[in-house]
Amino acid sequence: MSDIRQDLEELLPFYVNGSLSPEEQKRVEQALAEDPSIQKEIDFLEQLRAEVRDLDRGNSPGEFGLKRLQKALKDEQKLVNSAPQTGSAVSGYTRGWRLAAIAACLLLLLQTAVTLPLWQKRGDDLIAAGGGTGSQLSGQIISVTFVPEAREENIRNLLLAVDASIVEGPSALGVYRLSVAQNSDAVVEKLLAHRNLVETAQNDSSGYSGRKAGQ
Amino acid sequence: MKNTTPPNASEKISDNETAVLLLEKIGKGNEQAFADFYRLFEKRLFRFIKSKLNDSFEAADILNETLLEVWRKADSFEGRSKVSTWLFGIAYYKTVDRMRKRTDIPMDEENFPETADDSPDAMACLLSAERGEHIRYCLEKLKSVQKAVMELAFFQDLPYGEIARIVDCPENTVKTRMFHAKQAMKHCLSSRMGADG
Repeated sequence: MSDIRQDLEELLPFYVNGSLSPEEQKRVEQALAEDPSIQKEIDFLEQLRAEVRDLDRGNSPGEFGLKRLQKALKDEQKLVNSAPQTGSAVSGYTRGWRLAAIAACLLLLLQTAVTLPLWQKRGDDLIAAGGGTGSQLSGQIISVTFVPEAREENIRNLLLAVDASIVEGPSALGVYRLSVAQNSDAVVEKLLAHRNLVETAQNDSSGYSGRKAGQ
Repeated sequence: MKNTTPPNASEKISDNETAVLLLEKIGKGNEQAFADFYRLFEKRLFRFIKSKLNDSFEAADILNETLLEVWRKADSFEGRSKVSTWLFGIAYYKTVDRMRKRTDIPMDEENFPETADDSPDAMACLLSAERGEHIRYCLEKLKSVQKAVMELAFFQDLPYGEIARIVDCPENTVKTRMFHAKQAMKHCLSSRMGADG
């Protein structure tokens, strides 16, 4: 399937649900006039939409759910209101444990204050598992998704080639956020050139510029 | 190019305006407004959560958690998106979080390959008497991320830009996921037809 055809097909579900912009709708209608096979895709999607809408997802909790919610709200409010009273009724035993906990925290703070500068001086015996990406976290960020068939080895080689590190993700939709040291626009171009691996890449550093591989 | 609101926008804008007014009152602790807000969104929200979890009890739990979050954060809503986008976004992340904690639901399982299958069988399947049964079977076999996008596009009739904001990903990713969901449906339907034949 050509990229142009796929671009058009990606608009079709939103043509069917009536949410395209007038320009996009016109584009679909022009393509439809030139290629009647697109109508089959539209018919398929309309059937699919009808079935999704008919799908019985069971009864929602309704008024019972509202009662449950109102009870949870009341419980939460009671908890908030009773918090100071609970504090005044603390037993001497609990108070003793609180003092011990505070003392332990202070000790930990002191220990950290003493040992942290020593670690920083050595610098060679504690290395973050992320491999020193900390310096790039404030750099330029790119959002990227990979094609389902992409192999880890190939993704790794590509990221090493463009000097990018994964700083967040994957999200539930498979979006990774990359930090890059060099010009992020150039890196987006390089990523998109590997269309066998990269599905979409977007430069988050300079506003929205999301594109798909091959565009 | 960004898409716009659906043709029945006037109705939806009215819904949104109602929801904004309710949120303002909820932010001031008005419980009646909270009950009205619940009734306005409860069915759609439950359906969306259930489409991902397929468990009524858990879906009801997450519905409850989502609306409690609305109660707590109503005064922080700034109106930068539609209320429904904000609300479905909360529900989406609570659902995903619950799924991560559940080991029996793979987050992104490959139920069947996403390779394109434009065979006429898939189309023919839709004309068969059992098409509803086949489609329901195949819809349940979609990846959870595809189910979410399809539910938002085909039941809630949302534009891809709004879906992208709900699931927090680029607009192109939403379009691509929807495309892959359609291809997966075709593939599944073709397999079902093969099995029947």
